[in-house]
Amino acid sequence: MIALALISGAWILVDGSREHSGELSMWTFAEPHYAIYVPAVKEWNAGQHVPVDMHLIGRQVMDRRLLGGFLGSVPTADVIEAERSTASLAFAGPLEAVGFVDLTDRLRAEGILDVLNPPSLSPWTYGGRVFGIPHDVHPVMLGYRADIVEAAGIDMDSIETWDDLFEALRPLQSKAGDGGSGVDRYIMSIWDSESDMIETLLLQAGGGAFTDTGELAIDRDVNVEKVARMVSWMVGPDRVATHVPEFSPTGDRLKVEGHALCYLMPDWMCNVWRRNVPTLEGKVKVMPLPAWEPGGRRTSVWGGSMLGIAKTTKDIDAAWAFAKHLYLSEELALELYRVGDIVTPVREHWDNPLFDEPDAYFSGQRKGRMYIDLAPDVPLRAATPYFTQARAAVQNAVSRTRTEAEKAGIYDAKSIEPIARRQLELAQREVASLIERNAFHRDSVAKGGDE
Amino acid sequence: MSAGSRKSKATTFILVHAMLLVVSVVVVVPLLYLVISAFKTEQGFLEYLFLPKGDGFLGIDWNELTTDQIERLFKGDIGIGRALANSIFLSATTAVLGTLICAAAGYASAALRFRGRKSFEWLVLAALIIPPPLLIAPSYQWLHTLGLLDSYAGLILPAIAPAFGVYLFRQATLQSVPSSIIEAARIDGAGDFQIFAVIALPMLRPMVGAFIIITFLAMWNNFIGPQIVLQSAEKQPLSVVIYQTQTAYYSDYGLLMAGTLVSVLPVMILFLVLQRDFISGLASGAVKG
Repeated sequence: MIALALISGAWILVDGSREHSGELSMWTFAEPHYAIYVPAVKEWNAGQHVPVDMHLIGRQVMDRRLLGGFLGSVPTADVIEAERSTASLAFAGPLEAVGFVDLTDRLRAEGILDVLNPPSLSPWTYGGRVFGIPHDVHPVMLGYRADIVEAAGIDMDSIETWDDLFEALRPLQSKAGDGGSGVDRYIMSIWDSESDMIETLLLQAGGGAFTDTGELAIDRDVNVEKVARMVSWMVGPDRVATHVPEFSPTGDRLKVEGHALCYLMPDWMCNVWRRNVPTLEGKVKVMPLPAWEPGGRRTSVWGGSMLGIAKTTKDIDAAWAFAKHLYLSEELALELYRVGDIVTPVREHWDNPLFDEPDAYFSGQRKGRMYIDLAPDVPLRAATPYFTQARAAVQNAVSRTRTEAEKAGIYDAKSIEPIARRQLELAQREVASLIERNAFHRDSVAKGGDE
Repeated sequence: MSAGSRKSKATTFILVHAMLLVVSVVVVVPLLYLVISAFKTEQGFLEYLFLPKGDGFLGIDWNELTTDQIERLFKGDIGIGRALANSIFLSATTAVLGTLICAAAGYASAALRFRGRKSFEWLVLAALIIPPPLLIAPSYQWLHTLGLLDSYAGLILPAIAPAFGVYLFRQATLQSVPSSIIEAARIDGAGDFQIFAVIALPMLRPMVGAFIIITFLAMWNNFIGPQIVLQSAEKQPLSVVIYQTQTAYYSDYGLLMAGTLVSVLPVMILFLVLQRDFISGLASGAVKG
């Protein structure tokens, strides 16, 4: 054992002296992003710039290393591409304690704020200051099995609201064996266990766990009403919703079999489908989300990442120059769409004809343009370190509401509302008690219930 | 022995061995799956559960198996070689230092008479009931204050004197080192350190073997700790580096399996080498008290 310690120690000593190829380092968490950046970083390093080392690391690993670095004032990567749940960890204290560099003045001085899609800045704006360049917009559309729906002669263009959707597609709902289908068929893929989907639909309605200004408001009326309606989709013998898990082989199988006809489809999800269920090419289409009410918002938002610069960086200017190259260049924005189906938040690139090209996977639709048309309308999201806890609390509340409604045989949305209200109030108290422990966020706990 | 008694013994034997067989299958199958998966292609991983059927020996298509994943692991930019060295260094150093310190502290607690000995024992017992997750935040603060974040020492130092180890060696000393031998050595003029190193430690050998494995494994499998304490990519151990091959939206299963295999092998070898000590160590003073 002593020999092992000595030999490995010597190995580390020798290896530890190697030099990094880059003077700056960057972390990213998503393999598709990484693949897009590799040539860009190579090109950057070949030019007259401060060279950069890029690392692909797991999200949970990044969470811990980021927080550890920020709290302990030890160096992290210089440039960090962080998903919303990771980046928001940095927003737990006062402004001056945020581990990312405040980019507001640079963004304003260089006119970058004007070219970015305004709602896409909200998750990275804390205390009125912007701490990251948005990577994406992530508008959400409704993906549907066009082959099945169109074969039944249903005109999806005539659908404006969720109620319209369920009414129009109701004839296609069937049990295994009925109507020639080998599986149970439902209209919509959404379930009480899917916190992301629930959040997406609440945001579409103008609700969500937090107000646009970051106040906790889980039990406000809009959430109560929308949760009750969502739960009504999931209960009873004639429920219209089912569970098709994303990112799982089981879910992919169910998609191919047509277990659900409609899915929430943020732009990045198009890429996940393209990679994981290639056999559905030409059988799927997207359309704007049905609104909650006539004339209502036809999109929402799901996910999001930013590029931030750590305060511990050795060279802020070099990191800033690299960040701009990576996130603002048209070349990379187009590559992001070409390889990852992700629409850039940089509005001046939206006119590029690439976004008008028909997409064979989506039955020849010009889906890039369709997503861009919805981009300015994506809902705002507050930057808060508690959004993951709040999202989980809302999901639990939805789950409890569904169980209670199912047990009591209550299937009508209006009758489910009192249960939803009680459960959301519980969730509000639960998250509020968590936030109230934080002196810097205590004020963000609203009374709740009042719009 | 009557025929009935022999029959009953045979039935018990069969039943016990049948149960052991089932348990062995439960233990071996995942390991077998891991080993086979490490040699599958990316496509093969999703296509078949164990080995691909074919016209080869035993009806298996052996040509489908590949060492690509292992090669990718070592040739790619994952840094698995360095991660392996880090894991070995962290685990071996902690095991050696931890065992020495715990053995010394346990011996002192059991065999020496000094002021505050009772308080020391109570302190050790009290420390035993503190759940480790509760210590993460204060440890982090201490490491920050001492400037030990992002250093190997930041991981090793807090792990070299666990209360569990001190208590284990205290019990082992009471069980295995007779006080008459200590007294005799003292009369012969041996000092405390000499008695510990020359007389007590060899008598505690089974516990030393067991504790080395326990400490080595604890550090080898430490996943949260390195993520909190270490920042530099080149200092990360295998547990973290292998996990990092899984990213959002995509998991490279082939690479993950190959990495897991590489991380499991050294521990298996260590266990095979020290298994006799490990088992006798656990079966001795530790459990009898």
